[in-house]
Amino acid sequence: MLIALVGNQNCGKTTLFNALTGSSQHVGNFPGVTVDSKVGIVKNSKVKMEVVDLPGIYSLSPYSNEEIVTRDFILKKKPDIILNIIDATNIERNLYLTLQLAELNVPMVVALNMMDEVKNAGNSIDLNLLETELGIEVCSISAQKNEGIDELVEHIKRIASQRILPKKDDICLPTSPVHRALHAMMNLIEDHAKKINYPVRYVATRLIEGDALLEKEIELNENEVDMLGHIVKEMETDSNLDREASLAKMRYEYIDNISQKCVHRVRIFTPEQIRSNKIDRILTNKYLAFPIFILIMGLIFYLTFGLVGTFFSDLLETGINEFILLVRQGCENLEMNPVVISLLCDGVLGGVGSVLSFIPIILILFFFLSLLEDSGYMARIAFIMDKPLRKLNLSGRSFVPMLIGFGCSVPAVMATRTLTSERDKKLTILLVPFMSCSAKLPVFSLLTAAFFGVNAVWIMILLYVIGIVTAVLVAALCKLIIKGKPTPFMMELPTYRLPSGKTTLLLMWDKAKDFIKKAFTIIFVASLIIWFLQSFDLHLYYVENNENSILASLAKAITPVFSLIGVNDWRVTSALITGLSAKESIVSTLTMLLGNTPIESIMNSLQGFSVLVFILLYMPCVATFATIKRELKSTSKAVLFMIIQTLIAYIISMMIYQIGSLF
Amino acid sequence: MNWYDYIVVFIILVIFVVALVNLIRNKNCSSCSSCPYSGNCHEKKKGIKSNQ
Repeated sequence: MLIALVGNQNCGKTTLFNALTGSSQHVGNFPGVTVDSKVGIVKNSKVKMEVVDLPGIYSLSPYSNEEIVTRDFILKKKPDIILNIIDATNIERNLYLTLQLAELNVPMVVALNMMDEVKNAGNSIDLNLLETELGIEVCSISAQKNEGIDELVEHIKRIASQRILPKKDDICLPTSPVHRALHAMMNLIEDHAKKINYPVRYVATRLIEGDALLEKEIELNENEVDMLGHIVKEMETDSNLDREASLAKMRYEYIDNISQKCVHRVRIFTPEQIRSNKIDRILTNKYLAFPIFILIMGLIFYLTFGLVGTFFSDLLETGINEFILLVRQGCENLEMNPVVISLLCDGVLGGVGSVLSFIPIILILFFFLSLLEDSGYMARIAFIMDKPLRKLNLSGRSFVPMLIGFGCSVPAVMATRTLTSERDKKLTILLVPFMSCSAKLPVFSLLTAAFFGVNAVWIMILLYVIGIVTAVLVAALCKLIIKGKPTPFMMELPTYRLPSGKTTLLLMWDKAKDFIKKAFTIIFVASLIIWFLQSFDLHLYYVENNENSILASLAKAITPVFSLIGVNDWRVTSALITGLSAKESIVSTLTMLLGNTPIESIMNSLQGFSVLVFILLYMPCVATFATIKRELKSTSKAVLFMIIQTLIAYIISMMIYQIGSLF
Repeated sequence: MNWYDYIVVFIILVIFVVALVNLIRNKNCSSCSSCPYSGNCHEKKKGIKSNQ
């Protein structure tokens, strides 16, 4: 049995998906968390029930990729049932999509989520009357508290197995111009709709609303296209509204009618909404919003990099070093071969351990970011960033992928799918890697601590700022080259909620797991390759001094290219190259190649800063490259993006180093 | 080289090959650390798959 989970953004689809399947997909109090559809199996069910979590949408119009994905899934994959989840605190707006889904003529059940909040506000919804008015069975649930889920599953099984279709689809007044237009249209396109196995009424409403994709798909002849135009024009004249507004008005009139009958409100706003409005008066205030945002982020960075994070990171590093020392002594006591001891202690444990010691910093940063996201503040940041982004010819929607880019560029590039225009998408993909991803954190921590000591935290914040400023400058430059207007940004601000401990812990667990996995896969492989290349010469003889190694020979040939940015040592060049596999490899490579030599002895702080900026901005890792290639559907464009990013990094680092050298 | 050396080298080589195979099989996502949407990388194991 295939279940399509459909609903507005941020109405709790993923929370319900997790409750149904027992999985732990990322849930955020942030619209657009689900970028891609996910499939899971309903737990504890004798019948195999597959549930698909589709991206949040407000209507079935093909304006955004999410809408197209959802619409195509329902029409082409033909699920056995649509599970339409509705935010009960905002029932009127959510029912708009419900009415459109009902036109698809697929068995359907409505899950009324967040009913606990409705009750808390002293309001109520007459479920039986709502069922009768909609002609669809309704279940009351609270996905977050896991209430009503078993009953919902039983409803789904029964409705899908008996194929109970929505009972009402004709929701317009019989005398209205829309009604006349709809029925005329249904007569006109009936054969075409049946031919492609689409519901007739759905096709008729979509054509009246001006759905160009569907018009192409059903292959109308010239006469029929003329007739279509005539029907629409007549409806527009009679109703004195344009085609889309006519149908929207028809649906909202019906929803108003249902709402008046079924929803009993003591208060218009729930206590949560009243509280959110009060908080928003300060946090999204015209003058206070930006200073507060900067203050919050500054505090997070200070705690992560300066106080708490460094303490735990240093503690772990000491532990790892002690462990390596113990292993080395053990090996020496066993009189093992020095080459094998070097392979184990310098190559494997040294390489992997140097990266693992930064886990606390990453966990602490994501603990704070998770609190911001889960509380609802992250959505406000996107809201307040819309205006400045618009000035740069970018949509506020672009901010969401850029924000995700602070975590990892791979999902950030994937998140650009939510952008409707190709222009916005390409520009955002170009800018995302400039956001300092968490993989760069270990590198920054290592180098800033070495070169800047107590001021390391400020340099770290400065690096984040440089990444953002570079993105702003590149966007401004692109504004001159890539013409066109950014698409409008519409985003629902969720109510503020107390962050869920479970969500935060799950996110941190995912981070730790991913990081450890990465340490034992790509970092492990890169460390071994680097160990081999630095331990043997071109004749494959073991070398005591790595200056004579294969790696030294190769890197010394490339180093002059980086001399303009202050890199004169082959070991730094090697680290920059291995950083292409994963940024953390820079740390493991430097640790292995430098051994006990402090990095400050081969570079001064200006060179160190220039290298830090280069690492911040140069081409992202291979996984990001693969994602960019997939999203742009072009290898050449992905390569071009990498070249542009590396050139920008080179130019900025060169300017920093060359200008800095003058003083 | 004594037999301890052979054991250590053998174990490291096995891990190396496993890690390499893992990297090649998941070339688009295995190196994505700290991913806020990490579901994509681990879904198959949990019986959850992406529709991408």
